[in-house]
Amino acid sequence: MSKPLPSYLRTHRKRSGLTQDEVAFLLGVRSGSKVSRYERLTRKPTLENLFALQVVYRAVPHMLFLGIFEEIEKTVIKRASILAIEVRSLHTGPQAKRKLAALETIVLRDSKMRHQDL
Amino acid sequence: MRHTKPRPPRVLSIFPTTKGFGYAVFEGPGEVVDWGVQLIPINALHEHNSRVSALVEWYTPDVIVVENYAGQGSRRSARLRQQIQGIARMGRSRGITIESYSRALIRQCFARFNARGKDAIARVIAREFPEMEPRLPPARRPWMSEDYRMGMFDAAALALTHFYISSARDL
Repeated sequence: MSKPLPSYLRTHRKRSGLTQDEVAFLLGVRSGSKVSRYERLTRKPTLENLFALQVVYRAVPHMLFLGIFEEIEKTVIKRASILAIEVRSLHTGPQAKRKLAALETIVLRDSKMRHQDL
Repeated sequence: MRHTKPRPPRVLSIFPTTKGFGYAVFEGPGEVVDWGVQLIPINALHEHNSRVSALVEWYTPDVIVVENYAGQGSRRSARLRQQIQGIARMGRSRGITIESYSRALIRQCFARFNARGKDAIARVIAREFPEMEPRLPPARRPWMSEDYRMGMFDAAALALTHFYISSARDL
């Protein structure tokens, strides 16, 4: 089974029927070549352009870059598990409780998502 | 939201033509991710291979689908057969599953939509995938040569035939 593509910008643009130059105009960037670079991932969009892409394509940023998002999510969940173990073993008190709750929400997101999909 | 359900296979279908090749990329039978035609000068085999390679590298397909030119209904020239063989060889060297389907099989799959010829099949595809509809060429008349845009619909027909046959196999 396939992993998601790192970027679905080109898919969304083609579905919209817009050219790269037209998307560039909507983003307020100089030319379609920048949009091409975003699509090919040779350049990352700024935060402003990322939100502009969300508006143009009516898709949240993590769906525009689903493959990249899933890799980052995996890494963060792993780090959250490690940090949760450390917090549990070294810290006590209300602050530690709040931290653990936050970390466990991150870690459980993974298993909850799996459960919801069943 | 994170997709934790198994993802459908990504299928890249390539349909070489006299003007280059048409292609379509699907993630499951209901989702077309990319489609188009690459125009390449005739006999520029190196350019053809390089563009196909670039598509394979970007889309990392699970399956590459090409036409079975030895099958019933195929009338492909020696050059186009060579290109199809090259695509299959390249895919296999990268460990990608290669599937091929004849024109007769494609027509059989689309017969349930009452679509018999290429134009009718392309119209069915454009109806199912409205994002492709703007690229649909006008109906071909007897005195017209085939519009170059038909290549992407031929490629899409190959991919959809693959999904249809695979789901029938899995039953």
